[in-house]
Amino acid sequence: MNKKIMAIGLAAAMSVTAVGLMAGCGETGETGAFITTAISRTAGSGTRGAFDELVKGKDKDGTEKALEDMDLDQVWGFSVGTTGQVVTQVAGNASFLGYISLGSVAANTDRIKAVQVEGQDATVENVKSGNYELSRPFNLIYKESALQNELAMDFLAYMWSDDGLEILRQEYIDVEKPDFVESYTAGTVKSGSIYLHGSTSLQPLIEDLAEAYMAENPGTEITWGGGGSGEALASVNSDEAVFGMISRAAKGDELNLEVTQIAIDGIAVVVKKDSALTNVTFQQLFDLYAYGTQIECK
Amino acid sequence: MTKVSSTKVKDVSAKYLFIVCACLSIFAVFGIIIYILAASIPAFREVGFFQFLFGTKWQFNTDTYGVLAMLCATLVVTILAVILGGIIGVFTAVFMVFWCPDKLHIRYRGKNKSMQNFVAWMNSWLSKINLRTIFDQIIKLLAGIPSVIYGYFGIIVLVQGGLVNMDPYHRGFGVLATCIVLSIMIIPTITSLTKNALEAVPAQYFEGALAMGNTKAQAVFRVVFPAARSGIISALILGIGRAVGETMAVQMVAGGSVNFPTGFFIPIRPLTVNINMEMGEVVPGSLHESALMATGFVLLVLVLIITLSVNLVPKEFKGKRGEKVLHGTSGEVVYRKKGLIPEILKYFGMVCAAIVAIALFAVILFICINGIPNLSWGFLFGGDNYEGHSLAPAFLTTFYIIVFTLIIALPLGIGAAIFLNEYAKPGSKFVKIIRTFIDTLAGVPSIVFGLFGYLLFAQIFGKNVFAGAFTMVLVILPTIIRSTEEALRAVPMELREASYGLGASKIRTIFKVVLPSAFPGIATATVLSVGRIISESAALIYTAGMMAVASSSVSSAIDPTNMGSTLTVFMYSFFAEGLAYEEAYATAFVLLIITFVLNLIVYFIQRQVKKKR
Repeated sequence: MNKKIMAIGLAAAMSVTAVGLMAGCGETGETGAFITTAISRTAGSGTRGAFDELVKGKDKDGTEKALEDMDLDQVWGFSVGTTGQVVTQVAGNASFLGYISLGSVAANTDRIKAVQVEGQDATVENVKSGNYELSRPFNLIYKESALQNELAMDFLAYMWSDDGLEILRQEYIDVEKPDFVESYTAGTVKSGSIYLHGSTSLQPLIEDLAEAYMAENPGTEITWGGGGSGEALASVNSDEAVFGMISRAAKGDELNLEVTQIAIDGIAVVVKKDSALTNVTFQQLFDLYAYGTQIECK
Repeated sequence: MTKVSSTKVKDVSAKYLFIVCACLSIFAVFGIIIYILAASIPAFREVGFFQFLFGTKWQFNTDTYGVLAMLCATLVVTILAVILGGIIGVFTAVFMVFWCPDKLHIRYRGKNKSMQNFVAWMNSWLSKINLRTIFDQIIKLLAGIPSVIYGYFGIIVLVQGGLVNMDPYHRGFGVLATCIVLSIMIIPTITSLTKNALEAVPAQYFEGALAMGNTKAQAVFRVVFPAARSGIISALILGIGRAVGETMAVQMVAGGSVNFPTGFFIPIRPLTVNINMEMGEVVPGSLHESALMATGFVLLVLVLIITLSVNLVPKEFKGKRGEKVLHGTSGEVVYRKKGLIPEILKYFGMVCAAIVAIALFAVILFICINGIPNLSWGFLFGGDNYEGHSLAPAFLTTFYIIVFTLIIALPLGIGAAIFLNEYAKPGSKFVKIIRTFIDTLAGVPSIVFGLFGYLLFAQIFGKNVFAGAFTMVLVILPTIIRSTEEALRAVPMELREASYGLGASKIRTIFKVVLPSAFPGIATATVLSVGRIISESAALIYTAGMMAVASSSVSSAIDPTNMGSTLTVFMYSFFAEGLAYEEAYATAFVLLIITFVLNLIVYFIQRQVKKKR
């Protein structure tokens, strides 16, 4: 019988240990004095494409190179799937650094923070003025037939209406209205539904716009989804989605469709909220992502 | 006369219908291989087959694709996981079969009166619990928990809560984390199959060994255990198959960069993770997509080799069993083999069982602590009018997929089982082939089903609930066939003979006599399938789609021609979008409750059956 008691005691002791581990989840040990690990999005994501193109630095042989020329997936770097996974990783570890769409930072400020790049804050104003250099376009791609879709065109028009621009300008930079987009009047479209598919970076913006639009135009329905810019093309071609969302410049077969830029987005470099890091340079980012050179937090 | 012939026509046509059902598994396996191979050919042609297999770089922007590092990562974590999970799983099974007491009883020899009363009260309470049943349920619950939940547990508790402090780089991700999560996930498979193998060893072996004066531990480890060897090896191989194909949980803890697994804390990207990470970003029709399909093909071949190698395990090990027990090295007869090792192994088994129980309790506790506070009526059933995120659309989609999948899969599966058990000659070559294909289909990783569904059903129906349901049919077909067959086999032959004796045709006998008596078994198969559908994620993301959490609405989910996320996929998208952790935990809790309830239903059905006999 003693053995049984022993086994139970052992079980109890181990579950206490397990619970103890869980209680420690809130704080992950010491605040990292160094950033040791770089988190990237998966290859093919619009955000990663733009980041790798924009982050340049002097390589070891002294020539200037962009990250896209380098071999990135190395021991010091993690490639993770989606924006959310970057947030999860960075929020859980003070020695991680990652990047996400500027528009996605606001929803996560309780866990992560954006640091300055080359001394410039990651803000809409700085992106607009060009001081903050990490930015990329938001594009919608669609078939020509979408021009006949009343709801689709009205939703586009809404993006350049006063209300639409106000929503957009909170976290993104507006672009000039294309000629074919008409001016918006609430209530002209009474029914219909459209679906948008593609980049996860565009989804927070589309969510805000769609919810405001649907509130003004009862009877209409706008839904969206997707796991990345790469899915946009197929979903438009298969008529699953009216608009494909891509968070980079259109390329390849996407250029065979209509392309309309709706906004400019900044890319924020993010770290854990309580990190001591406040500023990174392009050279530091380049060295971290390309060679795993640690960045001191100060 | 015409009546007789019409019955005959019915009989014969029914037979062919059942044969077609049975052959469906063969078509499915070949279909999967052919479709995925066809989709990978552009990559093999552009990159070169050997370059693809032995290339060490995977770079999308330069179209450089080589899977060697990922293949190594898959193999290394699988082997480590099977060593860890295998040892724990096998010894847990030994404990469950031989040492797990039905009832717990605390003995107290002290003189303290109040303590005596307390112990007596404890014992009266403990006597109501059947420990063996509870352990059985623990294993089943571990098997039923969706892999997304294991992934959450892995990243939050294991990685960010524990391993991060052991890693010199303070990361915690990588080989070790993956291997631990995987071993927890394969323990149920290994334990339940080992348990079956041990229970199948004739009781005489055990009793005989005891009669020779062996201790219980010696009898178990020196006689019964070796006798169950082939079953245990099969269990381990199936565990390997499960570990190789696991996607979701691994993706969350592996790290994701393409490295050779050269250390415990090296971030890696196993094959499954490579597919799942990049499929979302892929441009359809591109070389990149084909390269991912080719990754799937490599994975499929790996799994096929593993599953087929189960057949190579000899059913009986040749040689004189027990020889070594009875004869010492000198050849003279020793009736009692001494040795402490079995005694030590016995305690090791208890420790392993405790570890399994603790792992389950840790997962459950983790989900409950984080999930229960975030539950609310609005979150569960609020629908479109509720302010925050609501699970209502996910419930709808889950319900649709369950119903559509079962409507298609149940007749096919039951038909196949009827053919195998009622028509086919037992042991014939044809039956053997069909069985092999059913086992193979059961071993195909869900991400490969996902790729196949994406290539076939999502092209036919578009990405929607139907495409998801058709894919799930293939996933659950083996479960249904096996459980139904087992139930049919348990129906006594006399019932059929009596029915024939009364002049009933074969087909009438099957539908009026055999199937009704096998009903509880079929019900069990159905419940198990529902559990499988609910816990599935990788096969559904590419077929039924993954809705953005914020855009999923009841009004859209009510139409099955739209995309939809089941509960588990919904939970995964919470994680993928990184927006609402509280809700993700609450969803995990809901999934846990559903799994628990399904297990209870199976338990009660089976108990009912036992009582009847």
